[in-house]
Amino acid sequence: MILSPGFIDLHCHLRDPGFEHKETVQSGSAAAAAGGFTTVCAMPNTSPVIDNTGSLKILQQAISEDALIRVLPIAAITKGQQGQALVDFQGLLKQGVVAFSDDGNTLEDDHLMSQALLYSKEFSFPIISHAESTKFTTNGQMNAGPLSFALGLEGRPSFAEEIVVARDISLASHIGGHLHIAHVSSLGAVELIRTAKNKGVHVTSEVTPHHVTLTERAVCHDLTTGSISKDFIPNIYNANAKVAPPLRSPKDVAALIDAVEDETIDVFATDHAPHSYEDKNTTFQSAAFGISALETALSSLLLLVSQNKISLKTVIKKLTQDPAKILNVPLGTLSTGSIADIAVFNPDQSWRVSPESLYSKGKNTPWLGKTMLGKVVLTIANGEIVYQKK
Amino acid sequence: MNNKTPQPKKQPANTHLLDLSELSTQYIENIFESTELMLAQMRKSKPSKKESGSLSILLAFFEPSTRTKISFQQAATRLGHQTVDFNIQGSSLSKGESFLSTLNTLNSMMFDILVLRHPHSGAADFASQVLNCPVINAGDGTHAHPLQALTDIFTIRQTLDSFLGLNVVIIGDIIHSRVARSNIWGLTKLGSTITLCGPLVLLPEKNDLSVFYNKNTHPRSSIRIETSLKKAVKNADILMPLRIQKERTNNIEENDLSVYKKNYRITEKVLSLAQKNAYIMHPGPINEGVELLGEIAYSNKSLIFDQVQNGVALKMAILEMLRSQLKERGKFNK
Repeated sequence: MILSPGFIDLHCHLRDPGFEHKETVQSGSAAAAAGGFTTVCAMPNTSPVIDNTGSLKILQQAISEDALIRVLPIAAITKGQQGQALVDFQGLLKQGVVAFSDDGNTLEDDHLMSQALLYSKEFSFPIISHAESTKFTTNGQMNAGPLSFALGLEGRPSFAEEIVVARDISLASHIGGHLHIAHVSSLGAVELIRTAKNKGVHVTSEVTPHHVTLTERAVCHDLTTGSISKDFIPNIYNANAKVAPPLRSPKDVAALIDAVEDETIDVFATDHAPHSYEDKNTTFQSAAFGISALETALSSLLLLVSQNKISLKTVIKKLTQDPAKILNVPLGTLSTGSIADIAVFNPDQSWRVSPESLYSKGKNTPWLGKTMLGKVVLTIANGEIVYQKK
Repeated sequence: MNNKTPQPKKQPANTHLLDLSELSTQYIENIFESTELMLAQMRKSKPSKKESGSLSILLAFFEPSTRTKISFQQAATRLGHQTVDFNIQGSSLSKGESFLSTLNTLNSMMFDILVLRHPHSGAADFASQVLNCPVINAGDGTHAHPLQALTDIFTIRQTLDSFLGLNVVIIGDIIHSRVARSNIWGLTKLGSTITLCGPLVLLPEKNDLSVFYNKNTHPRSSIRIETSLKKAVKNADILMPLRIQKERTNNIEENDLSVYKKNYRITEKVLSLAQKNAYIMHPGPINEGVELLGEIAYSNKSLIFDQVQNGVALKMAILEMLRSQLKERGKFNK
């Protein structure tokens, strides 16, 4: 058994308000608790979008009534996430917003991005960038490469991520502010962030458990990450592995793991993106983007530990202490006097990922049907037991 | 009604016909032998020998088609099977019904075979996970068109001695072509060399081809990329120009077309650079004068109408194969 500070997720989608058929604050926070998380940051792409204090109140009402754990709101950078006009950063910060992001939409307007970074500099908060140039991703379904060609699916090239990361870093290096790159997925983006950090630019970054444990081959139900097997024939489509940015090549995965080790990537964040049965059970092209990840995050990261690719210490640090640092909150620690947020897990316990085993309404995970190692047995949030394995 | 959740395939292999990537060379050869018999009967203008058990075949075409659909109807008619035409325009899909729901509805109607054409890559794979009956992929997005590729490969087999060392050049809009992909899967199992030729905007990257090599690839097969038509057709045995799929691309503007014609149109001169007895094939529809001159399409160098006739015989062969499989397993719906 391992006892750890409760996990902190910088990036999840609770879908509440507006998309309650996909997830609610109640079901999402139950899933988080079952995954060992005691704090999650909720992305603002709800309906209405969290872009003003009015819609923020609706979310906060739901949080105060239904949340089992701490839910911290992230607000949009632009009104309606439309990339046209900035939100009232100061007003939203006063009401409890912890960061800003147009997640799902990339803020294409260079000038608006520079202005947002100026506000970030003035009021000290992270601007979280979903870095994928929309011109290259409008119809893209999966990573651009051999597999997308064979499957006849339009690709999302890794340079679509790189060019936006390069722009964001350039702006941050000249303007300042705190730039946080969400769900880094490519080798090129890793290199850009590493160089920027070495130059002293205030940039932080996150990677999801799926981007470090799965390759694009998951689209064909192949969850191995090594070099391609001679038995591999790309002839099946798994929409549960459809995500933006996409799962990439083994080279990218290796670079992401290196970047976790050398601190280029600061934290693990789930990008938990639950979807309903109908949203995913259709053709790959019609299916929604996203992976339900709160409950498989720990198990998939422990897979890397068992393969000696990263240490258990790194996994825990990047799920607790490091995200707390980015949010600048006194959480993610077991030191005397700190808030009692605790996760206890058995790294050797196996469990089968099935629709019934998940608290989240979103059963959309490429791990579905697989047996994983590592299960949370007890989660304590703010001194109260919020999850206990039956 | 129980809605079925798509599951990774549990059904026996070869129940569905989704693509050539998963067919064994033996299976392909069996289809070809049966196609020869069907073709012989057709040419004698004899009604085909009707085997016991007529099938009820649903033709669900979610995308326009002329030859594939008519040729399927003809194949089915000659074998005494019934086809039902699913008309997308008047369907519940235009009223907002989901694809899954439509498939479940069709499944409840107990057809023996579903023939599916769909604009989305992977649609046939998805349907095969929902339906209880065999699914025949009649073209899914830019992914696969096994019926056309099997017809093409059968036509080559009928015309030339061997697949070994055969140079097949596919020209034009490769990135949007399901026919090209399926032909690559098939021909690389049989020992042929494939050259993909066209402007870079219509070609995959060299690296993209790596995934086509696996344990089933013939050791003598290879796939290469060549932007120069002159170089590509040197030593070619088969030239396969493709139509530019304007409906799927914004890579080609109107003014690019004249450049395309200049560089990639098949003319007498181009043909003279290939092997002496090289042939022209085309999956249709042809944009005459763009990728291919009409006088070549209708010349004795052309196998285009053989392809069309073979297409009927091949579909008959596939229907006959599925019928006997269904009979063996006692899976007739009626």
